[in-house]
Amino acid sequence: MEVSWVELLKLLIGTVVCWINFVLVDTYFGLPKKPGVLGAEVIGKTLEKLGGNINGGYFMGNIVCSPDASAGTLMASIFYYLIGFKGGLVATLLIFIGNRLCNDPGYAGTFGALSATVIIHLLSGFIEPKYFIGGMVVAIFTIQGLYHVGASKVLGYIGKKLGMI
Amino acid sequence: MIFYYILSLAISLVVGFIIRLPLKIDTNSFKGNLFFPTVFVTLGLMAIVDILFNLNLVFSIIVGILSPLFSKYVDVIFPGVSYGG
Amino acid sequence: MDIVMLLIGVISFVVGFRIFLTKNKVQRLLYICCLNFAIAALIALYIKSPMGGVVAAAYFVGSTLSSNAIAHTLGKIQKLEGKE
Repeated sequence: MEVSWVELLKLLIGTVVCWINFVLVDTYFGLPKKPGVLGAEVIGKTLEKLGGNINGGYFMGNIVCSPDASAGTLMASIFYYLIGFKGGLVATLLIFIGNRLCNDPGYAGTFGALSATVIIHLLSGFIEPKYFIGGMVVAIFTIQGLYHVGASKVLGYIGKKLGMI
Repeated sequence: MIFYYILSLAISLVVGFIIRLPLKIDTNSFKGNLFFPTVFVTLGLMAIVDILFNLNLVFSIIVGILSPLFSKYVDVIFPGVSYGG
Repeated sequence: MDIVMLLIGVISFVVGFRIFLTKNKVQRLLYICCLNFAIAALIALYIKSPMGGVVAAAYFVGSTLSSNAIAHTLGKIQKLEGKE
């Protein structure tokens, strides 16, 4: 199969846009500040014991334990790919219901889904929504799948820089 | 087509103001306020109606009345989960 | 087979192997979260219809709910063992 450089470039831009979107929204709504549920606290403390940052650990634990802006970005890009701009609005409603099922007030997820929908709509002339789905999976892989201690340090640093801890 | 979305959003905000939803936004509580679930629920329900049926004036008025009521009782419909004792 | 599906497939293989290789239960939970993202994306990319999106959302919310319950149970167990 042929791999064209244009596709790789689109995928890279999608990754960067998704990463910035969900990290900024999640940090703004206070995910690194405190663990929302008991499970997030366990994950944060374990990562601190392994040598990471506890605030970044709380961030990662909150992502695992409830659908936050990361899930909102993924769902918004999936529904934009399948239905269009209306699909992004439906995804926002579904993410709100999912947040409430997981014991979370639901601010981060809904705002993340709506901002992702708007960003994908603005960029849809250059980059198809398919690349945002792939980009979101790569972005979550860099945080949850590659090297946990380093990722927690980076997230804690960003939270401290934005003054949200 | 976008006119109906704006119309139902305006109706929902006016109805929410009449039934006295709180204006202050508190990101830690499970209670709804005038903006938080209302705007998203209105837009989401209008999008679902748009996909399944077609938009018209009746649907936007119904959605505009339903979504602030949902927002007022959202902590009863979707409360915080208690983990069994 | 286009590049997006191929990339997501490679990522889910890598993460799946790491789930088997790691010993720490909490880190395993983080890898499973990443795998859930990949599977939800693959469902939506294969089933190109609005119903596929609903299936992906239902799968994702359900898997997150079970991760939440498992992490909560781990915390409870750690607390019990710490008290004794």
